[in-house]
Amino acid sequence: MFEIRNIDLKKVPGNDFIKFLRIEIPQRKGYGLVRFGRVRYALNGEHNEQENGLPMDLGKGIFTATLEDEELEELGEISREDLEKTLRKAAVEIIKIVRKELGQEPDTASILRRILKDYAYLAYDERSSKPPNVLKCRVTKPKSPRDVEDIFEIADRLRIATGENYIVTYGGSSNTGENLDKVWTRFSLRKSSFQKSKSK
Amino acid sequence: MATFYKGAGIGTHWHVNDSRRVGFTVRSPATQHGTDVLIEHIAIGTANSPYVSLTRSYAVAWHYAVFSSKQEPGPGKPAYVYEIEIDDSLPHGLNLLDPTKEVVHILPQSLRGIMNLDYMEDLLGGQTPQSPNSERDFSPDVERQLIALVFAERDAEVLAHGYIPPFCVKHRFEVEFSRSDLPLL
Repeated sequence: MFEIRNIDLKKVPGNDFIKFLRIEIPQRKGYGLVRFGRVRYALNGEHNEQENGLPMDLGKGIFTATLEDEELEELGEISREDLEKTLRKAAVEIIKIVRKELGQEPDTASILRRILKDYAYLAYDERSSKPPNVLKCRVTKPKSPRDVEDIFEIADRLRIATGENYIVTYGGSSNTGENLDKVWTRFSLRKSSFQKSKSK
Repeated sequence: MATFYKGAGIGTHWHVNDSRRVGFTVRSPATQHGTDVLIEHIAIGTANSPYVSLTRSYAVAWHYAVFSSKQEPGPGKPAYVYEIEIDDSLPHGLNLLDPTKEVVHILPQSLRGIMNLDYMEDLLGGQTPQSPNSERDFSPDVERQLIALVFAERDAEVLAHGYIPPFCVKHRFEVEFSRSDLPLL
């Protein structure tokens, strides 16, 4: 049997001419959600939901249909190009909300574990990590040759996979004459909250 | 002879226009065929595209018809799945493109992705950082090509470049959303 799951979209930035209200996603028990949703919207600043919805491909993160010419004419001086631009931007925000609501945010710890499979001397330190913000790893085979570049490579792969930046710190005990870059025994990846500022 | 399908959701162009009468035309015949255009068609959408998307799978077409409808299809208000048969000697002016073959030759990391599924999973599941003024959903790097490849495979997609004449459209099935039944992909 199907159920329709509704997710509120009122926080999605719309425009004066279109407001996104909610998305309906069919869900079949035992099989999860289907990969399509239908976005309900209101036009011209009104709160009345239109009879039609705009279908979305949730996998691709795009609308698969748009407003008809007659609907567009009712919006006054809005061009087709402006409408499509608004829909593209909204689709990005809608997907973020849907993923968050459905718990489909990237599982950072799992991704890191998969990356670590390529580094046999390393293990994810579950006990001291606080995912997704702080991820810690330790060396399990102290005699394995290693280099600090490995850590930055791992951080880079995690960045590509999650879209987040990480601040790298590493450490360990080293004797006089030893290079910590070669004998480190642990490192941590801390999600960076750094935001790019707009140039003035 | 090859059989293809195309879903048409309620309120969409091919629901309003019966292709058994008019065939299938592309949205933008003036746009030149090219791999970048093809990738954009699959990954971003079909506006200004010189292609028509078809699928080899009835189930995929069913999903597109039912779930890409502007209203829920029901009794007396069906969505449509078109069945299209195209002879091996293609109608004049029509070309069929397999997106996988078109994309894979410009995909330097394809072998890496195929041989190492963990790597591929990270790449495909990840979010791509965007430039602040980007108007596109994906940055123009290898991920977008991979994404197009994967979605083309997901949908068993074939792209028609050119006009599909009405005589190729053999059937138009009426389909509706049923809360107790769903063809599995």
